[in-house]
Amino acid sequence: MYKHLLIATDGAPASDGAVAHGLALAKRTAAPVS
Amino acid sequence: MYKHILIATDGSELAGKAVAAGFALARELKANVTAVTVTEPWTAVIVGDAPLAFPVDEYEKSANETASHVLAGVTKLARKADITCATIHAKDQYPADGILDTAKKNNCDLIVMASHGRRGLGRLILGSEAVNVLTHSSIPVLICR
Repeated sequence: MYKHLLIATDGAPASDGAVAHGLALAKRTAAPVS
Repeated sequence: MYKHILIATDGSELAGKAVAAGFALARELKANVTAVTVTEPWTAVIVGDAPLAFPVDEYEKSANETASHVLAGVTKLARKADITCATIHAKDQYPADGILDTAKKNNCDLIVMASHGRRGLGRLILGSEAVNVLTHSSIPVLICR
């Protein structure tokens, strides 16, 4: 599965959803996040 | 996390990567999987003054055969990967519409698809159907390339 996730954000409210999904996915797959 | 993943495929090589990625993610997350392939509505082709006759029933037969072939391939891969995967043929819809409708009707919470379809121009960053799905989807979309 994914070994390293990059979460891109500009701090906008719409980015918060991406951050949340990215972090949840990272947690479930035990992947480090940048 | 995701509970029901919709994997869209047109049977192309790139869509195969999306199928593999979707299965891997489903296995990791213990999510349900549905695979969809979409066939477009029949349209008459007009060349000059003369419409090219391609009968509707022949078109539908061909579309059904193509979809069956594509979905049989997905089912085979699912069995190999030990994944339970439902399959849906969304008929008479444009690809993005068919994918989005299927996701909605089946309460999917993630769409996995390829960046380009069978007819996509590789030089574009994203194919038009991927752009349409991304633009109109209310759920996350994982684009594979």
